[in-house]
Amino acid sequence: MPRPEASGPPANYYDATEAAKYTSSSRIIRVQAEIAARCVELLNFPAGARRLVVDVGCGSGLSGAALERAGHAWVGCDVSRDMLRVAARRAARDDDGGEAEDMDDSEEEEEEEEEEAEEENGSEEEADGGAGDRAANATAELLEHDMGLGLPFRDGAFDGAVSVSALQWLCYDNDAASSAPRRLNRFFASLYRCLRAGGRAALQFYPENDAQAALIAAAAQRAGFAGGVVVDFPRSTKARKHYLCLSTERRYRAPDARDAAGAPQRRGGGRKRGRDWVLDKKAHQRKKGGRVRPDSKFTGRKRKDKF
Amino acid sequence: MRLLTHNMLVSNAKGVSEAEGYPLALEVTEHRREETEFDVETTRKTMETVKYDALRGAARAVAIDLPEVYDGDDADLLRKVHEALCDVHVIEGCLVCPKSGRRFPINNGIPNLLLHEDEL
Ligand SMILES: C[S@@+](CC[C@H](N)C(=O)[O-])C[C@H]1O[C@@H](n2cnc3c(N)ncnc32)[C@H](O)[C@@H]1O
Repeated sequence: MPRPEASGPPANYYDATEAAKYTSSSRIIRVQAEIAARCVELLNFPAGARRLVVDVGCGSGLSGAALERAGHAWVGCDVSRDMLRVAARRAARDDDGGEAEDMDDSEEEEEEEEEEAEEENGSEEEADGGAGDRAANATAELLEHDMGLGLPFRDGAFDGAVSVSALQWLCYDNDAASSAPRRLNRFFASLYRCLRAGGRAALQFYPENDAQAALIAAAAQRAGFAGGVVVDFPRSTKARKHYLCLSTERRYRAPDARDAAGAPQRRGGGRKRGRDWVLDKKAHQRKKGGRVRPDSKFTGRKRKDKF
Repeated sequence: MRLLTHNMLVSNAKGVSEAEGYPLALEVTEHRREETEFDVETTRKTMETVKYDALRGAARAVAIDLPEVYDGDDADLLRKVHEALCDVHVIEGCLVCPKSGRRFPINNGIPNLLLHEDEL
């Protein structure tokens, strides 16, 4: 099957028919919710604090619902008006304590039945049915935008970023107007800027092959991010998922992946010292607007002992 | 669109630096209010990342008058700030780039920040 990403611009692919699946298919709903929950886990924010997170390629808001469940506020951005329409309807429904505002299309009715039929979907029901979510000010803030143009947010606007199943779209020249590398670079540069010092991102994507995963990771690194790709369940073609875990903190290392047994795969590496640590400190100060000497080959070198 | 979101938005248009493309002017033709729970601490915390002057300008477009100077110890002010940030939803209107004059429409509560490739 050819990949949809190669078929043309995402806004064409994610039309009303495709968008409807994101409320009618309990399988899609479950899978997206699981991935989004894993993204939240990978962000690894200290417990308790409420964060402002941007959801890139938010679609119908399935990934955002997971952010709400974790107590975070989010702003979603997507290039498909049809997906956003579904997301807005979901928010309106939450508002009215579980009733859809404009139930004009029959798919919605079917969706409700199907969700009820599927018992393991209990948590999803809670996710987009509860008016309680809204009382906590966790609401869908939506934006129509193409991430390949660069995110339109000011410096340090967000504590974190998530993205679920969207990033691979940046790897195709499907917009003709601009090349994939350019779009990738613009996206990561803008993401870096709009995260505050110490901000993090957990971005799940479906690379076509290893080279594509490496291409995306390299673009993130060029923008100044530390981190890397975490591959959960690497031995299962079906369950395998790629997460690009990033931080503006240079010292940051991507978390451990999950393996079939549920146990995280151990990796080497302890706390970083020396040059990396110094570069990290400097980057942090720079982000806070401090005056910092430019990095050079002498940065972090031990001074010669002097008498 | 809430004003908290407006506070984060900037114009990406060609030749517009971030300093020049912020804040976007807000024109409102339809908005609604929807009361949400107010908590002094949460609002004070939120204000750490909010640019007050931009909020003050945007609030004016929905007929909320905020004083010139922000004071995090003033509970009445914080309540007003909370209303502006969280309770107001702009449904129809426009965002305007202060430098280039580029207009970004807001329809059904969703601002459209898309630019054409040649505008970048
Ligand atoms: C598989 S859907 C996932 C939606 C949502 N994150 C979820 O988990 O349900 C991928 C989404 O990415 C969006 N997308 C693709 N390319 C994009 C781009 N360049 N800018 C913004 N959104 C994009 C699509 O419109 C679509 O809504």
